[in-house]
This record gives sequence, structure tokens and C-alpha cells, in this order.
Amino acid sequence: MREDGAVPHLEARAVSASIDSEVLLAPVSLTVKPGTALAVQGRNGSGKTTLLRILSGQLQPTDGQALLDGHPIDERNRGARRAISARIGLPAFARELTAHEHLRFIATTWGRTGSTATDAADATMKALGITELRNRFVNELSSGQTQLLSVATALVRPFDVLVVDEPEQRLDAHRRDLVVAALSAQIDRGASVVFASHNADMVHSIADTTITLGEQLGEQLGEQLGEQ
Amino acid sequence: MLAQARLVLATRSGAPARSAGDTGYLIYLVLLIIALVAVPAALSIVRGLAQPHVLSAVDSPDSYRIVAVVAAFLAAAALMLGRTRGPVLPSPFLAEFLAGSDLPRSSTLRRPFAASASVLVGLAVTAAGLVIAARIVSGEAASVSAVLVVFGCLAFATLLAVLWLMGQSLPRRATATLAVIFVVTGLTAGSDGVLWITPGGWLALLWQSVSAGTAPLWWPAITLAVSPLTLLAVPALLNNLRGAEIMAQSRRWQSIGALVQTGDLAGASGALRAPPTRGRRLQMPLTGPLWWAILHRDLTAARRFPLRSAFGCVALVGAGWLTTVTSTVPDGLSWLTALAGSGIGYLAVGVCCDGLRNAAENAAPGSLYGRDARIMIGYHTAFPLLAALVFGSLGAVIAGVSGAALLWWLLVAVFIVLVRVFDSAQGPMPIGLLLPVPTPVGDIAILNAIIWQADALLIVLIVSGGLTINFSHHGLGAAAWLALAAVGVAVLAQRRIRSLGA
Repeated sequence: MREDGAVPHLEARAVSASIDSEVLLAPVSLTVKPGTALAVQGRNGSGKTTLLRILSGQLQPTDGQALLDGHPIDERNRGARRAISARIGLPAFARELTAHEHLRFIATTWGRTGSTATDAADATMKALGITELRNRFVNELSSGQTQLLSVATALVRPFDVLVVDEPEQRLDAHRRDLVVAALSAQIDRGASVVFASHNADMVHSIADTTITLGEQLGEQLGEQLGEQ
Repeated sequence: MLAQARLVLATRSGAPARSAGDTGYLIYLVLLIIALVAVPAALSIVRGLAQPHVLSAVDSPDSYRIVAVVAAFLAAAALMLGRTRGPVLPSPFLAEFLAGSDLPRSSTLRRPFAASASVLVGLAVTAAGLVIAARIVSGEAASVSAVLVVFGCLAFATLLAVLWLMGQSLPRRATATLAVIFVVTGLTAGSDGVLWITPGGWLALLWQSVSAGTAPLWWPAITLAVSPLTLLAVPALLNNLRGAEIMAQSRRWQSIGALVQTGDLAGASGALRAPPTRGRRLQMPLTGPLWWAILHRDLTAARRFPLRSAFGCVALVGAGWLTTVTSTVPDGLSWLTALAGSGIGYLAVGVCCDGLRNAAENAAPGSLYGRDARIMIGYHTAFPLLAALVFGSLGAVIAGVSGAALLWWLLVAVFIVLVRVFDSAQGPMPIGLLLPVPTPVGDIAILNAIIWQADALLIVLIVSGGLTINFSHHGLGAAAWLALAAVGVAVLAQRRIRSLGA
């Protein structure tokens, strides 16, 4: 959250991405208000990850604009990096650090030093039910546990907007519920959350709005879940 | 059954049957390589070794003790190498279906071991043959002792192959203890008594009889001659190999091969670095300013690889020693110590660069870390720099050289760490480098790829190694050039980091 207490709001205006004539993402528009969550759905290859990369500033749209609080999102901008925490794919873990040290070190680089970093790491691990993995090296984690640690790396640092790609991947039902609870807690404190998911339960539990990227290129399907 | 299985494997590899023409071409190619590459290279090495000042150094009265030390360290290295890359390395398919079958592993894995052992023995005999040839070229008459040295090398290499297999097959505790014993025998090579009871010592005594021109010593010759009897232990050692470990090594080296072929040498060396298994409860304070927290982080992480870190530190001491003694060795040998010092220094510093590499991996968009990649990478250089300065200087102090030589090492250490930064931010190989480059002698695109892969090491060897040779004659000039080169590397590294998206 910014110093003035306002959470920036995220907007995409007809963003699209293509390489040569290959369309990676058809034009799409959306708005995510503070304290709400948007679920991005669609078949494999419909452009979900591309959209998330645009919204996190990791990819510049070919056309259209992605805006954070009215300003174009650019990953090179420090303010944008601080505001948006994105977890798209697995991060570059350090094999020589334990799970807990990863989170403490990440928190430290984001300005949470000493016991504050330790507290943040403890709280994040507890929220995702991975406290018992604190002394494990990354190569000692199962694929589901690696996924949880990956989500934890996005949650342990300060942010206003959270962008996550398929957080339910490789998780059992119990762990999915823990991720739902952790993301809901962030929404409750006022953060905006954008996530791609193939899991209907997770979408229904978290999302205020969904957008489906489908075969009808160019068509934007934003609909309020409440209207369903 | 084994022959049938190998037949299936040969068919599975999809290689078409070789025609008579293909075989002829292959023989032509091998002969061409021997005539155009191997023979001129061997002659050049023999001529280089036969120069009086080089030969006098190789032939010095105490040279046999160096032979004993090198042989003992080679034995220890063979034992330790077995765990990372043993002599038995079948393809994953062979490991799965042959080593996993009910056939005895002494049969299914005999061929991979024989192949590795043959390469090792071939290299040892070639090296010994070149040195002996250099002595003969310089006018010395061939002697029984000289022939015994070559056969001694052959026998010792056989023993090394068995030790290598022991490193792969026996529990780490046993092989580490044996390796320590070999290191101790190497360190006590000053005592003649030790030489009479150790394999390295036997080789050294054979060498002594050549360099001193005395009558052949039969005790070391006989003991070395019977040492290949240790090959009798090979079937038991092969049967003792664990399937999971063979498969793990096989998969690891296959993926390294794939990474090297696709140009990802950094990824390949990453695959070589086994993950940590100890030290998980070491305290990592992460307090104070970020640079201090990062130094602590890197130091704690290094303690999780005690053996690797110890090797790195010892190698840095060696690099400092080699670099600083360059100014005192005869001109004919200075290139050897200078290049070895810089090369070993570069490789050894890599042990301390895990944090640096992780910071570079996170330089792309979507980084885990909250600080600019250049700052993170900069702070992560503190640990390798500190290690290079401290341990390399220790080597310089052991060498007992002048203050100027010590200062030269400090400059070399800074340069090597900057090249490490440059290397860590290399990124994937540009596809353009793999485009065919047709020439009358064939496609030389592979040269582009090799140069791109090894650019950092080449820079260190050429710039740092080259200027180290020059340092004893033009101290200030060499220092100025190295400082200039360091600035250049820093600029290039900064450009690379920026191109990663930082």
C-alpha cells in the first residue's frame, strides 16, 4: 500500500501481443480494483500467461496499454516493481539456501531486515502450511512443495498487486485451500490479485471477476461472478 | 545375452550399417588427424620440453619428489572424483535395462570401466612418453630406467583407474579416509622412507633413477609391475555399485552433454554442482546493511559445501603461489606457471560464486529480489573477492616473493572476479553462432561456439596469464594494462547485465 493509503488500480486497455503475424494474445481490456481479484481463464495457448506477463510489466504489449494507477506498467520502473509481485513459472531458486532462508533473504532485499524478515518468512510459511519444510533445500522438496515455496516467494515481499499464474498447479485439494486462504487474506487487506487458473473451485472461491480468453479472438468476456 | 542386448542397443541408436566406403573414409580421417594434428602437436611438445632450461628444471635433483607429490594427489583426486564422475558411466538406457537386470554388474559394466581405464592409461603413457622422448631428443641415450618409467606410468595409471572405481563404488567415508592418507603421503614426500612404501613413491624412485642417470631400481619397478593385480578387485567393485547412483551419474552427465551441445555451458557446470546435504541448520543472520547480509549469506552457503570449499581455498592458495613465483622461475617455465596460476585462480573462484550466479539468474524481469540486479551482483562479488585476496595472498606469502609480486596477485584477483561477473551474466548462446561457416576444411561454426563458451577463461588466460609472464620484466606497464583490461571487462559485464533485462 502506498504512503497515502491508496492502493493503485490495475487496468488493461485493449492489450494484445503478437510476434510477426502470430497472435499470442488477442486484444483484451480489464480493470482490477483494490481489494478485488480477477481470474483469467481459457484453454491452453489462449494467452493467459502472456496477459499476466503484460500486467506485471515483464512484456510490453504489441498494442494497447497496461496501466497501474494511470501510468504505463514498465518492469524497469522501481515503483512498478515494488507495487507488483508476480509469480509466473518457477523462480530462479538458490540451491544453497533452505526454504526459510530463501524467504528471509527475499524479504531482506525488499527492505524487511532482521527479525521483520524472519517474521514475514514465518508468517508466509505458516499461511501456506509449509513450516515443517523450513530447513529443506529446494532440491529436497516435492513438486507440490516447490510450487508452494514458489507462491511463498511472491507473498513474502511487500506488494499492492499480486499476479500469479496457475497457483493450483501440482497441489492436492488441501494445499489448494491453503493457497486460496492465503490469497484471500491479501485481498482482504486491500491488495489486487490477478491469477490464471484452470481450477473452478479456486476461481469461485477467490475471484470477484473472471475473464475468459478463448477461441473468439478479440472478444472480451468479462463477467461478474455474482451475476451467474 | 549381453551380446544380444548390445545388438539391440546398436540397432536402437539408429546408426545405419557402415559401408566399406564409410570405413575407408573413417580410416582416412583418423590418419589425417594423426598426421596433421597429433604428430605436429607431439613434436612441438617434445621440442619445447627438450629446451635446455626446461629440461634442466624437469631434471632437477629434487624433481622426483614433485613426481611423488603429484602422483599422491592424483590418487586422492581419483578417489574423490569417483563420486561425481566415476569410470563407470553407461548411458541411462544401459544403466536402466542392463545394470538393472539380473546379470552380474561385473559383466554388464565391465566395458564402460575398461573404456575409461584405457583412456586414463593412454593419457598417462603418452605424457610419460613425451617427457622421455624429449630427453632422448636432447641427446640422452635411451636407458632401461627410461623404459621402466613409461611402464611405471602405465602401471600407476591402472592403479589410478582402480582407485577411481573405488571412489565410485565404496562408501564416501572409506574413500575420503584413503584420499586423506594419499594426501599425507604426498605432503611427506620429503622423506625417502615414505617413497619406498607408496605407489607414488615407487614412480618417483623410478624417475629419480632416470634423472640421476643411475642404475635402474628394481624394487619400485617390481612393486609397480604387480600393482595392476589390483584389477582383480574390479569385479567386486563393479558388483558393489548401486543402481540408483549409476543412474544418477548417468542422467547428470547426459544432461550436461545436452547442455554443452546446446551451448549452455553455465547450465552444464551448474548440473555438476551437487546440491547440498549438510549445514541446513547453520545460522544465517541477514542483519545489518544489505552488502553485509549478502556476505554472510554467501559465507554460510559456502560452509554447506565443505569439501568443495576446501578444494577451492587450496586451489586459490596454489593459484596465488603459481602466479607470484612466475617472476622467479626460468623463462622457459614462466608461461606454464603464469597460465596455470590464472586458470586455476579463475576455476577456484567459481566455488565462491554461487550467490553471484543466482543474482545473475535473477537479473531478468520477474526477479525475486527487491534491489537492482547490478547492486545484487555487486554485493555478491564481495565473497569471491575476499576469498581470492586472502587465500591467493597466502599462496604468495608461502612462495616468499616480494611485495610487488603480492600486489600483482591482488590486481589479478580483482581482474579474475570481474571476469567471473562477466561470465555469470552470459545468458544463452546467440543462435547466429551456430549458423554454418563453410570453409575448405569443413564447417568451423563449432569454433565460434567454443570461443563463445570459453570466452571468460580465454580472457583470463590471455590477459591475466599473458601479463603475469610480462610482469617480471615490465612491472608497472603490466599493472597498467591489467587495470585497463579490468575496466574494460567491468564495462562489458555491465552491458551484459543490462542486456539480461536488469
